[in-house]
Amino acid sequence: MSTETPVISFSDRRGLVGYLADLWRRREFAWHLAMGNMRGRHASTSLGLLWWVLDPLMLGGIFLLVFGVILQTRRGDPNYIGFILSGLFAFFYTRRTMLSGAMAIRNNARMVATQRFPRLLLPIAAVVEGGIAFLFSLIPFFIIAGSVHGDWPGVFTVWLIPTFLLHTVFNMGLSLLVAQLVIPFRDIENVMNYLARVWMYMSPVVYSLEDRLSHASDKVGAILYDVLRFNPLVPILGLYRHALLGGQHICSEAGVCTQTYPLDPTHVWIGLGWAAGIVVVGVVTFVRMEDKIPRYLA
Amino acid sequence: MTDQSAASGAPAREESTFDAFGQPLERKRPIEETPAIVAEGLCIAFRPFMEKRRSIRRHGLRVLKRESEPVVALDDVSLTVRRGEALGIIGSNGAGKSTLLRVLCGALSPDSGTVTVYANSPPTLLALGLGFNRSLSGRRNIYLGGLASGLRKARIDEIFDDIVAYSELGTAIERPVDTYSSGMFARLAFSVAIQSRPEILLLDEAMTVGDEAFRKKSGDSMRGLLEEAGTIVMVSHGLGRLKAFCDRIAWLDKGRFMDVGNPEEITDRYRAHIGVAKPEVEDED
Repeated sequence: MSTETPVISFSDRRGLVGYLADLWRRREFAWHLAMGNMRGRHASTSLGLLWWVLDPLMLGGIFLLVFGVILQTRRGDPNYIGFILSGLFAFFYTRRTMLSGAMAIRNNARMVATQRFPRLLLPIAAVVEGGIAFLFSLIPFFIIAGSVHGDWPGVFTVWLIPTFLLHTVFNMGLSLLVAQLVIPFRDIENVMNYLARVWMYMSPVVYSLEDRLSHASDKVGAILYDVLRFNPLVPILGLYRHALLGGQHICSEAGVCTQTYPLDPTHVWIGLGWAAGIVVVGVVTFVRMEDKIPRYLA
Repeated sequence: MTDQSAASGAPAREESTFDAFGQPLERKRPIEETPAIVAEGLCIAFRPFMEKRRSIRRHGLRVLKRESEPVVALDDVSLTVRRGEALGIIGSNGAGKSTLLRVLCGALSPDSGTVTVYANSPPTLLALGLGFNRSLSGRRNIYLGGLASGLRKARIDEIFDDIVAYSELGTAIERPVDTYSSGMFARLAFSVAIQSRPEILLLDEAMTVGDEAFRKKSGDSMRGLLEEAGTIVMVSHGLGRLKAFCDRIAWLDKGRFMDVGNPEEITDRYRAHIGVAKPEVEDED
């Protein structure tokens, strides 16, 4: 009789492939966890899911007021609205996954303590949540940027799909790295918000790196430009700008028009490199330290 | 519990009747000689810095000093759980009982030793209301709870109606869970746990059953869960309860496996060991 009974051994080293298969088997869990968190966040509000559109709308409003109207960061560009909003919403996807990835394990501490499951699902759920929130924010983007500057979707918008995928893979790796670092070093949780803020201002979110720093005459500006170009968000935001603002053209007096945000192939390669690199490092290190996670929560 | 006296006065455990919650319990599965779980040489040591407050500075100091003495939670524990039996685990605080359950369900991996499970699914450590999001409806929480405890969505679709029926929540299933009374919440949580029909159920009373109100209201449901489960490993502070319910009792002391066997015999020796003479003390919780 017992010969027919399946045998489960916990001490088997599953290996990466087995682990990923496990992960795939439990994918519904990550999806429902993310959707549950999203629904739960605004469950008791009267506007409900509309907040997923209103939140980015208000965020965009503040940034437009401060950087567009008051500081006039993009004096030369007639379309600062599209520029700021595209950068801002894309950045907030990364920001959101980074911050919620940091909390992913601890918010589900009881689950981690009592259940056997691939813990990688928790930071993945955080990424899913951030990704959906980002897709929601594209609605106000097209409404505002479209109605003000005519940045409606066009053929170029197809680039949004690979860009979004690349960005998601990058965020996944980032979320995994943050999630595992925060467990032994809880101090990181405290600096996370500031890191996110610094990162935003070091990225071409409200200003363009080229415009501001590439012609810098002083030494500090030149060094800064060389350093900031390595920021993984430079290629990612560059790709978004093409996908979202590709319809814009600058016309010379002779009548020759060129795209304001042409597709930059180096962005594709550098972006791919970053995304692949960080997700591989993230997954491998996470799986390796996964067994230790419950011990920190005990 | 108020009705504990009935438990200690009913030692007819050959029929596996038990009264934890006022009524006798009927076990549905026979005990077999084949094992359900075989644990061999389990060792777990926690590093004490995990219990202390963490900061970068302390980490730095620790790296330099290396003075941390590991706290041994399990020290070479070997144990076989037979299929269909109810095995109780006793031991004073810090004996490693909860840690052992967490190792047996696979949530915590031991420093050394192996756990082999002979079943279709890994043992379930009962954690009521796990994965629930209180601001969502009962319906959504059935899915969240089921998925969190390892069920697939298709399976939850199948048993969904049974869960709702068992919980007797009726139309309240569409209401947010935070509008539920504690009794309603308990019924929902138990329904999910019962209808997912764990083959091997691990039960840590201190961990699963919350406050007194919840415990009172969950009496019947707990009985249903225990009757349904095939194999049970349970940790409780109520000695009389364990003695009456369990077929065998294992005794842990400071992470060491002391003995396993007849409930009467083990509890007597345990009592002598900790120096408690009167059996009245046994259900102090």
